[in-house]
Amino acid sequence: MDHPQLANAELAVMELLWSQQPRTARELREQLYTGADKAQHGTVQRLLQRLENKGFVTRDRNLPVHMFAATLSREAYAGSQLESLADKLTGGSLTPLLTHLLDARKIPRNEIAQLRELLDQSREENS
Amino acid sequence: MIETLTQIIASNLLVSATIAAVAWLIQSRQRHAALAHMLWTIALIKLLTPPLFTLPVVPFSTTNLASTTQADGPTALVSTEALAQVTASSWQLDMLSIAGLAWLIGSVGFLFWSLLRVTRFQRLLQSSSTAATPALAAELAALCDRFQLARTPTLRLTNARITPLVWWLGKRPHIYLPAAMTDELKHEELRWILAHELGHISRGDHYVRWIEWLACVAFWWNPVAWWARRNLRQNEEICCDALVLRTLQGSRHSYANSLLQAVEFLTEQGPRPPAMASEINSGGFLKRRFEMIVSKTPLQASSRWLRLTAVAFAAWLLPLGVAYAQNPDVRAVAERLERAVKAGEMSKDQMDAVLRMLKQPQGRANKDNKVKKRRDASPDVQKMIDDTRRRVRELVEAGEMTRAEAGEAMEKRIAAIKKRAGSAASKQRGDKGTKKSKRRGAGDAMEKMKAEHEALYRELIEMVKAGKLSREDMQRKVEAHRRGIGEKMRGAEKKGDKKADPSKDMVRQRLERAVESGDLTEEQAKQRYMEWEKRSGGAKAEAGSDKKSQRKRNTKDAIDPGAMRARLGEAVERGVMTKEQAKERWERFQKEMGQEKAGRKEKQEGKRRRRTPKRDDTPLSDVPLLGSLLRGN
Repeated sequence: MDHPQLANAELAVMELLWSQQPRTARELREQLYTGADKAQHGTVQRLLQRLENKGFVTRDRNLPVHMFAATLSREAYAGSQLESLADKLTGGSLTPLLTHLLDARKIPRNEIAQLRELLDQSREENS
Repeated sequence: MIETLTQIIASNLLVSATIAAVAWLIQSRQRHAALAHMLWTIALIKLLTPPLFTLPVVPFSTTNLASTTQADGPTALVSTEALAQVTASSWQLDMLSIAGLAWLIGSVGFLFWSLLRVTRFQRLLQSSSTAATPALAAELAALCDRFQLARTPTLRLTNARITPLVWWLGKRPHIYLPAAMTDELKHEELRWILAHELGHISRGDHYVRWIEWLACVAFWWNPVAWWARRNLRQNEEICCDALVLRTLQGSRHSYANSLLQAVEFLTEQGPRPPAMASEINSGGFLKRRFEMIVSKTPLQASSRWLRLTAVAFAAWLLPLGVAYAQNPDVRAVAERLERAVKAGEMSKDQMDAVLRMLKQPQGRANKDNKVKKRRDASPDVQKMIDDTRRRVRELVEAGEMTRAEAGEAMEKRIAAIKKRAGSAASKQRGDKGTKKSKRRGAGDAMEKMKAEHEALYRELIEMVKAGKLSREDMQRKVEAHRRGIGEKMRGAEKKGDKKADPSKDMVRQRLERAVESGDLTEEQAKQRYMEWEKRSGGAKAEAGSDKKSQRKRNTKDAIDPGAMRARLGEAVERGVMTKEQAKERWERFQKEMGQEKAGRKEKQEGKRRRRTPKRDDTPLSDVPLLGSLLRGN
């Protein structure tokens, strides 16, 4: 679940697709730029192309007009962002002070093994 | 203002650090996690609450402040001392304001950063989560009954693999579980996890998050705050575990196993929530936690007695502050004041007032603000400023000044007073050296001149009010008088103490003349000069009468022309003098008398004009001795 963060314009396209899909590029353009002329069409096409490359969108080429659909649910995207936000904060990219604020460190495997051992021991004693 | 704030902050830091140290000691004894948790919380709260009453703890010695320089002569002393003082204090002020600014920027930055994170986290939590399954919701409701919670928190399942957490931004608290965890863990295990989160809510730990967040925003640079926060969370988890085990009465091993399952689930990919969430595995305290959970005597709830004691302790501690107490040597000051009263330099009432002032506990005075207080916040300076303000108000009321003019004048005046107080303070400090008495003499003279100037100013204002004088004229006069004082002071400083008084030269000349004319032997003249020097300590009026006594053997005879004539006649008759000599002497006498008269007239006129204010309504700052008295030597 490692998805790159989307730019605002990309996110706007995704929001439309999450609310209703599949959609055509023209529908998306009319929703995004109400009352705009064809000049915006290229912009929307470029956005869709980029989203397709990132794996967020699929294109159905069976019809004369291409239909676009999201490959990832809104929840899945938010979840991945939530994780990467937390990851970013624990990754030490911020100042030591702020990393310390989180008191964040992953629990090492050997510590878990120790805990498991402790638990087993105590259980044996009890029984 | 600044010193009060500094005082409060220093006091809060000290009290908070002390509580933290006690908490640390208690925490090392494992059985008292609840008490330790409470103390850590108090340590954080104490950072934020202002002290309502203060305990003086550190007597502060004035000698620490005394900086004696061995400058030669008053001029050098005043300039170097004053300069050093001004640079030192402005340097201190600069450092203080830089530190304050850095603090503020840090706090604001941290505030925005954490708010940004909290809002982003909140948004992502919301959009990545769905409502819990009915089965889980029912389980949660049942558990809430066991914990006797009035309101069931909202349970949501998030898409992200994050630690189970309690999230509260006001209103109803939320519990978030990773959806994947509900798939991977058994129902019984999930039940324990939920119970743990409910335990946090029932303990009110989500409120504590906000306290620690506020404390860390306000004191981001204070290691004690972070230390307290870290230990607070660890103790919180232990207390929560104990609460869960007490409430549910289930198998301790089952609970420990569930926690371990959750930990294993999280280590596959373990991101962390921001500061607002109560996590299941925060701390890195895990081993201790597990030991506590599986131990045969799990942690009991702290007794009612212990809790009451802790609450009483908190109630006593939170409004508490400490202050550096300053101990002026009141006895020595009292002795000096008595001497001053005897010498007629101040009234008894004034002495009492000064002593009262000194005996008041000076709770809020520490090293920093002491320097500052001397510079501008001392009560006498304040009094001077108040006096000025009153005077200006009178003028405005009388219609002599517009409000704008008054404001301007006030500003100038206050600046002048502060400047003066500053130089006086540096002078006082300078006095600490070996040449005490001399310098004090100079200081007294200066104070006297100031008092005169003040009185003149007052009188002139009255004249303006009465319409005898135009305002321009008054200002010119005041200005001229001030210039006069300035020149005099400069002159005195340049010449140094020995030549500060021009009358000394005159006396010497006269004595020489007397020796020449045979009125005095050389030895007598010397003796007289010594006597004169002794008497002319500082007061000019005395010096004036001294001059007269130096001129002739008998003062009264000398003043009376008749007696002088008789004495001259006698001298001629006895053959001590020739007639010519007597005539010459007589002429000289008459000439001198004329000068004297003119001088006296002038002096009287001056006196009438500047009439020194009566002692009783002199502001404390105008009492020349006070400055040196306050130094306590």
